[in-house]
Amino acid sequence: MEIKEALMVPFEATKKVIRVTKALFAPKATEVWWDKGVKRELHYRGKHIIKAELCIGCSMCARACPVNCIEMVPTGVKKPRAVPKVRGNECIFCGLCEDACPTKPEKAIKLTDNYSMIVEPGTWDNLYQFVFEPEGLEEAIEKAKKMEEMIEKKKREALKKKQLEDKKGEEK
Amino acid sequence: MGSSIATAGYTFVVEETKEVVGEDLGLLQEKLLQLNWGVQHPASGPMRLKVWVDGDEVVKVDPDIGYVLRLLEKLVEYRTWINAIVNVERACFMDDFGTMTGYSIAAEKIAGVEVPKKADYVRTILCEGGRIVSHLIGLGSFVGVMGVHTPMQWALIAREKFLDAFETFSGQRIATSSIVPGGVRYEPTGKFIEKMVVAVDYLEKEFIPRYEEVFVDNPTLKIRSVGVGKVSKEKAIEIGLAGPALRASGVASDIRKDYPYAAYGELDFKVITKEEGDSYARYLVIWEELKESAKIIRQAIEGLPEGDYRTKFPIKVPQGEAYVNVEWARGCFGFHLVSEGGTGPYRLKMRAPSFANLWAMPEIMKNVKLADVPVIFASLYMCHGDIDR
Ligand code: SF4
Ligand code: SF4
Repeated sequence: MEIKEALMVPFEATKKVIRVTKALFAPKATEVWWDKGVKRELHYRGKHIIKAELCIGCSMCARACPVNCIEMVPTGVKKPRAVPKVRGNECIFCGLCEDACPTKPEKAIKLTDNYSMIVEPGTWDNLYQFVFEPEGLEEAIEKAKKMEEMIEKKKREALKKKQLEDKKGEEK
Repeated sequence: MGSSIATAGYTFVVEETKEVVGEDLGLLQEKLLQLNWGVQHPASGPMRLKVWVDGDEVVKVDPDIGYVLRLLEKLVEYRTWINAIVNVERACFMDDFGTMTGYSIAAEKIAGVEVPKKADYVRTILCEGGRIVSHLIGLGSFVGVMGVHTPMQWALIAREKFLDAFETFSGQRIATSSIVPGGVRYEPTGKFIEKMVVAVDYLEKEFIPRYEEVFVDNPTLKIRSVGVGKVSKEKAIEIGLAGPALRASGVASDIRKDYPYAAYGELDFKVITKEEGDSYARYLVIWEELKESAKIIRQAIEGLPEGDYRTKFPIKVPQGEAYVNVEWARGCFGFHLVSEGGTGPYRLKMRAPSFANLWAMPEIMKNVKLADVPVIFASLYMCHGDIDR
């Protein structure tokens, strides 16, 4: 009996070695999911997208947010006076800001199905800088500036015209 | 602590007293030992149970709570009428629809807003979905405290299908914040209904038969739970049990039947009661309610009317008060909401069923064996989230 067992030892050992080597080269049982493009449902409440050119600066979203994580950043132009900026670290992804936004047909602030939000390393400084910025802010500001200039020009022209007319009237 | 025990009529010998330790064995037997059950114990969750034992027998149990206190009621005062739901739903993550429905109905009562019929039906579907999700975990953890973890895994598989449906509806799986004063936040799309039907199908055709075969009427489970923590009908009312625990003692109390809200008045369902009043009966009540909820969901989906799913809710609500009860997964959940005419609630008081069950527990746990403590604890079906709030 003992001899038989002793004879079996190398056999068992080889079996084990083979099993371990096999496991080493086998495909992994767990999946790394975030670069696989896993699709969430269409209105999954993930990362925000803020479109500056749609925003009218009403700050309804900031008032609707239950955790006060929306900051209105002044733009320096009249319309929009300020655009929202979301502190992603504090956001609870409730989507109430999207509900409150009055722009139609497309909302200026929207939650997308983008769920991969990785901050590394997760220190306080890094988390504090994890902010969803408004998109196309510069263009929007430039556009707004141009619009303002145009309006100014038109106003000036209208004023000039009026003055000219007034002068004419006086001359007559 | 020692004095409080003495006033309760127990002999309490402090451990440090020299004469007791090791000198007189006869006295040693009388010595009460305090065990700390928790805070991280798998059966008690984030809560400490101080258990005084005399040998193997439990003399007194004193729950020590407050580890998950989030001041939800206070936080609601800083919210507007709509976004207060994010605090209300966080009372318990398992059935968040019940709490949101209760709060919304209270707010609508004060504001005098009539909700569209469709919203009522969607609320019913969601509430029952939440109940199923919660009951599944309740069943799993009840068998889990006895050391068998298979049912929990099975329950989680079935739960996953419901969470998928919730995600399709609201965009999140657990913290859905989908029910607001004035209706529901999203349109119940065909895809959501489809996923809900898939989930209910899976529950009825796969989970229930498989689970019933193994874990219901199981002799080992019965040995551990039949006759354990028995509560008579009168006692249950006296100590103020709630929810499935109350119904297991033979009291047919169910807010859905007694004071119908949402669409429950138009649907046909039974109130499950059992006469025994022991741990096993409580387990069976949860089990049978699961089937009943599946039926309600099917009926509500069939009767889903056309129309709007949300009406406008005013930003400022006139002064007033409302008290609303809803039948939450773990029992009757009360909301006392006060408005002072502002843009948000002035005060919200939540009456939680788990809290009632928790303080009835020391009464039930008198003179039971130490090994029965987790069984009774799990059978009372409590959630720490709404004990502390
Ligand atoms: S999704 Fe985030 S930013 Fe928007 S309201 Fe909710 S918490 Fe605030
Ligand atoms: S994102 Fe919408 S709600 Fe927020 S300020 Fe702009 S327009 Fe107003």
